[in-house]
Amino acid sequence: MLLELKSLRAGYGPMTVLHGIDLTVDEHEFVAMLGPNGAGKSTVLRAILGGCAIHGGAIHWNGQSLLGRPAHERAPLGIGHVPEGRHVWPSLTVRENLLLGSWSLGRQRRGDESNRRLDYVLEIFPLLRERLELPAAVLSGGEQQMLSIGRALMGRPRLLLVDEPSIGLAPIAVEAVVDALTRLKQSGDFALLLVEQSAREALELCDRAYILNRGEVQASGGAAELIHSEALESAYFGLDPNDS
Amino acid sequence: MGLQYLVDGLLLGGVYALLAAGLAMIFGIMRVINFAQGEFMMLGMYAAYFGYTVLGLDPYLVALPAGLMILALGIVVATGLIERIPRGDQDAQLLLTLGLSLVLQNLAIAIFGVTPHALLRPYSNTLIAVGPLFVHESWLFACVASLVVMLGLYLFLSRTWTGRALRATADDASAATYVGISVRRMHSIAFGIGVGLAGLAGTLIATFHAVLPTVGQDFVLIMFVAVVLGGLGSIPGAVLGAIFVGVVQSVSAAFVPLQLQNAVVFLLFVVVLLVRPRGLFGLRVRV
Repeated sequence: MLLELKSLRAGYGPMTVLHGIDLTVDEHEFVAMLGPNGAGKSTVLRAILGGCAIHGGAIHWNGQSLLGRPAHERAPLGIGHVPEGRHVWPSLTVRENLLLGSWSLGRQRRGDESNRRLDYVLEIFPLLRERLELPAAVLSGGEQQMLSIGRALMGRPRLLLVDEPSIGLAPIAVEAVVDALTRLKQSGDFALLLVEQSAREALELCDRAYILNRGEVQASGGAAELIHSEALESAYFGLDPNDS
Repeated sequence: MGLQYLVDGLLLGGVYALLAAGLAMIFGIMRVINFAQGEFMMLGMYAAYFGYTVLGLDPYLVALPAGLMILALGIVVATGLIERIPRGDQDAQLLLTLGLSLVLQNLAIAIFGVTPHALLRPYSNTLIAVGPLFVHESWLFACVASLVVMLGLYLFLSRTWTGRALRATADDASAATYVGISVRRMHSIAFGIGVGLAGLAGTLIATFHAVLPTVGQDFVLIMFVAVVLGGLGSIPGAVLGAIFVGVVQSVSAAFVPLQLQNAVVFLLFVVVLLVRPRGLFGLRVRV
């Protein structure tokens, strides 16, 4: 198992947001995390990334515990992150943004390997090739999202954590992002854990999904089963399936 | 006559630029206002003074090694002290640098005494006639050296991996963490380079300014004015702000008594902040 969360309880300061999450991602598997606002989806990602307080349970990466390791040690392990809101470096050029994505490859490998990765990323997002020398600040939202995904790919991730990639984007840009992720899935290079508001698109892209509600896993299963399930509806519309 | 003041101001401003660039670098990346910046400059001045009186070395030979030693000291101070304060507690960090400034100043008083020293080199009081103008040789050399160092800083920040990582950390530190950059380490490097620049500037300033333990106080306010005028945290802005301050200081000497030079600088500073709170060059270009 690539990533394994075992009855994870986590939150901010003394406040607990996640009340015992069990979740796994296998090698090359695309997994979605769905649920309404405040369900704890982003907190799960933060816990994996070392950005919130762990109150109990375990996070295992390739069988080894991630707890207590500083946040910047995730990328060298092969955990890439595409944060919500894109977080590209606005004053750096597109090329610099991408190259720094390979920072975790280490000093020796950076030179040649960085340029190889750069070519690979530009093949996936050819639009960025024309923008290479521009500061990232002038890119459109969709282009910044591609840059953010490209930057994460530069680090040769084995697992990509993608947080709300379609939020705030024009429909045509959302389509481009989904297309790119679909193509990346076919290349089979890495696993993906996706947090997404738009459930339908996430379920079409992913193999499996977890539905979170109030810090707990309400349902999980294959994407094809979940797409019509009551659990999905109740999670978004606030109906408790135990009531009916 | 007026042109003479302008040239003097440009030369001095070129040297202040090094001090201000260091301060802007620290603020831009760490979001810490370093009150001890003047004391690191003072250390550089003493390095130049003792380098000459004890080892017989010209301050221009001492400049780079002294700057690098103060850079190393800065990394130690940042790693051992500043970065131990929980991130986000900026009041505590500010008080720490203020305390550091007092400690360094009083250590210097205890070790070097309060008597001002002068470091006299052949170029210290030489004027070169250029047409109708007279150029202070020591100011000219210091300004040229300062420009060379700033060119080096620019190349470092734009061409090297560490330089890019520093700029990325200034832009968005959390994103830097995601690609595996240790923000803590970048903070320490930024602080080291920032105070190293001040130390290097100190060795240059020692060729035309008295060396004494409290000398940092005379310069630190000028640095703050330059950095704020330039738009907090922007290195190019700080450089322009410093040149502006140098020119104002120098030109005002034509109209007011020497002791009031800085009063003019601060008066103008207040006016600029009232009109443009983001600073003269606050163009949102950072580092």
